[in-house]
Amino acid sequence: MADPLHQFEIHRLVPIQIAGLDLSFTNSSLWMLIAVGCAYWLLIAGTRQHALVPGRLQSVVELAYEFVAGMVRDNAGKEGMRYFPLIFTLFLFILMGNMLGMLPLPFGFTFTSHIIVTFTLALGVFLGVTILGFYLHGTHFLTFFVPHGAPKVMLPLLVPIEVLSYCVRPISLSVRLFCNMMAGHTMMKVFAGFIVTLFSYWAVPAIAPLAVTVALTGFEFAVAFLQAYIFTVLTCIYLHDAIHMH
Amino acid sequence: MAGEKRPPAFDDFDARLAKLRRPDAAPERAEGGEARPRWGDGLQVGIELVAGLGGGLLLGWAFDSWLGTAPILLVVGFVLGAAAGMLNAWRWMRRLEARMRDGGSGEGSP
Repeated sequence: MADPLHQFEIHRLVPIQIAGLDLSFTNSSLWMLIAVGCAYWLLIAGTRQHALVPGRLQSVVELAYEFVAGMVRDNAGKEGMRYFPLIFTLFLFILMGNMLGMLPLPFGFTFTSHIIVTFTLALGVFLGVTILGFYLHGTHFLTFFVPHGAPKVMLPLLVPIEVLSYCVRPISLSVRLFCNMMAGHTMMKVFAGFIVTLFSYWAVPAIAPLAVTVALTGFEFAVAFLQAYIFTVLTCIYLHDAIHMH
Repeated sequence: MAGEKRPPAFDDFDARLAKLRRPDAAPERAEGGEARPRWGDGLQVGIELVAGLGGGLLLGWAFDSWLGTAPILLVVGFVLGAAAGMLNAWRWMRRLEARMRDGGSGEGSP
């Protein structure tokens, strides 16, 4: 039976060794480049015409723009719109990564199904937002970790909890995206493997895992979009915290 | 010829647009895209709990091996991490509550 975890293997395409570090160009890097290329192409091709009544491609681009702009405005406030380019880039990158992973190619790869990729993205968001908080509010940002109206005696206990709950943000952010993508893709491959195994014995009941695989594929497309959306929404919420310190 | 085959679109365009824009006529909202808790919300609460615990343990262990205070900070990290995870889970649920109260317009601020 086919190995359902085989899809997550990383292959070195161009081995690069610099100072003892393995910086090889892998299939993961290749798909990241493809994701960036696709996002680039989509936006360039979609905005080339400037039609008043948009065509299909332009509609897609405008929808994506409006969608993310609304998300930033709702969750991070008007001041958050200054960081819209970053959020939009992040959204498109993750969305492209998730969606390109759904392509039925023999060398297909979903880079968002690797914790190190999502964790690096989340860590970037976390560091950026923290630096932004200190940049905007100076040391006053530290009062973010002091809960309002708490008795002074409790502060030695509450402040570490608040700090820790702030520090685990990149973990929950990255684990969520990674485990959704990995679990979904594994499940799809497992059920697809059932089709082959069952079909080699008796053709008719193989319809059942086929039906499940079809349903899972549709479901996985929804998850691919939803997880990109949620990653971006959470980024907006963290941005909101850094800007407003509510 | 062109006058006869004119599409009927523009006569009642405003009326149709107004009908589509009526808030209670938006099907995707009414059918629980945002307003109801999704299974992803439950998952998020679980992840917050585990991430808090894991993060606390990891930080405790890292500071332990750095400062050489073998098990103390690990235990402290465990307890504080559990508390932090619960705090984050509670915050998520409050955000969910606010979102449901808004009737599903956006994610709502915490």
